[in-house]
Amino acid sequence: METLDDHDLKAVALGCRYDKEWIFKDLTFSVKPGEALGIVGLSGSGKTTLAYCLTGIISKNLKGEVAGSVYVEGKNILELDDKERYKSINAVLQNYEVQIFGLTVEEDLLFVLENLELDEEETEKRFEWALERFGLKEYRNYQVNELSGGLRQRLALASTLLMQPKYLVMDDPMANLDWCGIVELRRTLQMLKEGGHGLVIMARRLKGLEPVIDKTISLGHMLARQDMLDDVINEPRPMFTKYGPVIKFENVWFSYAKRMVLKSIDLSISRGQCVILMGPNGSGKTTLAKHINGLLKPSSGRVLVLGKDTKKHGPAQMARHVGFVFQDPDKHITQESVWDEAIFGAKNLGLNYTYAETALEMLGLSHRRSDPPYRLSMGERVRLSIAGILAMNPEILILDEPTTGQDEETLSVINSMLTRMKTEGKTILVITHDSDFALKIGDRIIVIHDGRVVADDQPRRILFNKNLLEEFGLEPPSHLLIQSAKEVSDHVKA
Amino acid sequence: MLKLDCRSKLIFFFSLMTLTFVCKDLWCMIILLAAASATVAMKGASLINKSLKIMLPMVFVAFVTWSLLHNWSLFQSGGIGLDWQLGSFMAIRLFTILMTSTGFLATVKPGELMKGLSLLGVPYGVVFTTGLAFRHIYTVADDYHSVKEALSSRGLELDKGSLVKRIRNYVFVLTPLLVKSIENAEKLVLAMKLKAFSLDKRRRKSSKLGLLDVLVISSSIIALGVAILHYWVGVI
Repeated sequence: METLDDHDLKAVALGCRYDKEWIFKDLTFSVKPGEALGIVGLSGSGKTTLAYCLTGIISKNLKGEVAGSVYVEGKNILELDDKERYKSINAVLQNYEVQIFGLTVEEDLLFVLENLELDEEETEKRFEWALERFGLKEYRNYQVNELSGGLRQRLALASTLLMQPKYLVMDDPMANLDWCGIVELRRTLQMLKEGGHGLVIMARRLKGLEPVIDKTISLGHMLARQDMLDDVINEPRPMFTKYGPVIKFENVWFSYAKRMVLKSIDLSISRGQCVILMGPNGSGKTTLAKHINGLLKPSSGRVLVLGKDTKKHGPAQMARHVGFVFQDPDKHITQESVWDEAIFGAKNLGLNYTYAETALEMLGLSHRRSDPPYRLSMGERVRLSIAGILAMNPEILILDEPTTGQDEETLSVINSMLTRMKTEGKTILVITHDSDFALKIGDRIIVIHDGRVVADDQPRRILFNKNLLEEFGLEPPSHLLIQSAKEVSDHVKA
Repeated sequence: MLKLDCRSKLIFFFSLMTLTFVCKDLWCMIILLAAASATVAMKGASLINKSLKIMLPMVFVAFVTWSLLHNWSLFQSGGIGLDWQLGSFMAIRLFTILMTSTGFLATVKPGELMKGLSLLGVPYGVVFTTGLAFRHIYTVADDYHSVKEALSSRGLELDKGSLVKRIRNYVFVLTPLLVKSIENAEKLVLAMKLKAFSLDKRRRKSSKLGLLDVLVISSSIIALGVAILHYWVGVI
């Protein structure tokens, strides 16, 4: 057996490919126990593939060619048997939904412990440890579907750590987390480091985790995000334009499953404005947006869109005026070619396909019009879903988390598309946690918290107000974080 | 019922459901209906009201159909003849089946079902697969909801048009749902590998049955045994 003499995790000249092209090559790094390595890469840069390589899934369970080697405590992981390997290095994958096997929290934790075939005493000890350490005690008998996204992620992490791996790989743990979730994740990572676990954190960006990351490498070609977003802060338009309101919420209340999700919403959005909806997960942002295209109807009050009461119109009718780009493009691809997918909405509405042509061109997909959509990269699929909406030429465009996990090309295309739509006088509503993106494109930010509008102002006034950010758990813009870090460093120097 | 051991609940509902098919006596069926209704009532009056609203029209249709058209089947027609007794019996049987199913769903959590099956000796592979299916019903239901929302936002009217058109429109909903489920299944297998899953050497910690459990299990088994001997074998 090939061995090295230390306790580190070492990747030596690591490379991987599924077909002819290498996804990454000659990757060499090491992580010590209690250390955290951040690997930054955009969508499609190979983060998940690297996680599979580090844990030996590729070679052992998935087809793919791996070059170089991975060592944990001097042992080549591919020479270890499955149980030993997963005790040396394990991973929490991006989709934590598929990593939960039990119907309740207790069952999920017991599932792993049963796999390990431990004696009763050790099983009990580790079980109690996981409940205590990850704050799951009060949720012990909860059904998994009753847990929030954050709690499910915590459960997936707890059940992986029951195996007591020396090294843990986390694939994009910040995807879909709001700022409070990121702060909580940071605390968990700190706790794991203190417990002597070596960590490999893969993410599109590490904003919010910087204090616990000891070193960083980037995967693939990285275009500094700062270059794309932070150099320009949008000069916002006035809060109310001369054109008058196109969207009006009049004392809207909405309840779902006996819970009041929207409370007394009064809003007015003018034509041509780019409005950003911000707020923690579960605050009611998407619920509010779904009222605009008639997917949801208010329990009381009314929503007027271009003068139409949405209570009287279904989403299919509203689609002529309001385009809604959902977060996960895979949930609405139904056609066999890019072109058919792009014209799907226009066809349903009986429109001609002129706008579909323009949209595909604007989003850089004209050359792929006869390809099957599932052959496109994730970024291209996002662009296709936007093209499908633009093909219906809506007056109002709603985008739900358009920047989450996007590659650089898609980010820049979305930026220019939104800028163009603003100049055309379209009304845009963007739901996002990304404060840098909000500063770049927004004319106005509406903050939703616990179903209420708690702030409504120009982006700069909201995102540079530290008290507001803290009170409502909003992500601070990079400018502010850099400034704070500088202040701390100056203070230390002084 | 709510505090019973999962094994007792499974045996009770299994016996109740089987008895519904074995019994051929109107009064016997009424007793079974009362037992099934009692299990539903334990979850509260609102569930009984809600269930009755949905079930009573179905029971009424069954009563009329069995009373008037009992001589008809898919392959033969025998004209109309009144048989109120058969109509009443079949309607009450349907009512009992519906009430038993509602009682089962209301009082046995999916986790209890899995644990109960495992303790009753059902192979772990079967129990685990059933549990996973239960676990992912929610994910698939969420996905179905999102796909429907996304497609209706693109102008697809799912509940309008002829039956053929509606069915065709639902194919659009099923396509992404199927792709998503296959993707999830692949990831699920990898996640199982990462958690060192194996079907071997599985054990469930068995808990001791209480007096009430013993009573419920024994009376369920005795009732089922007596009914089988009486109606099928003709001994008693």
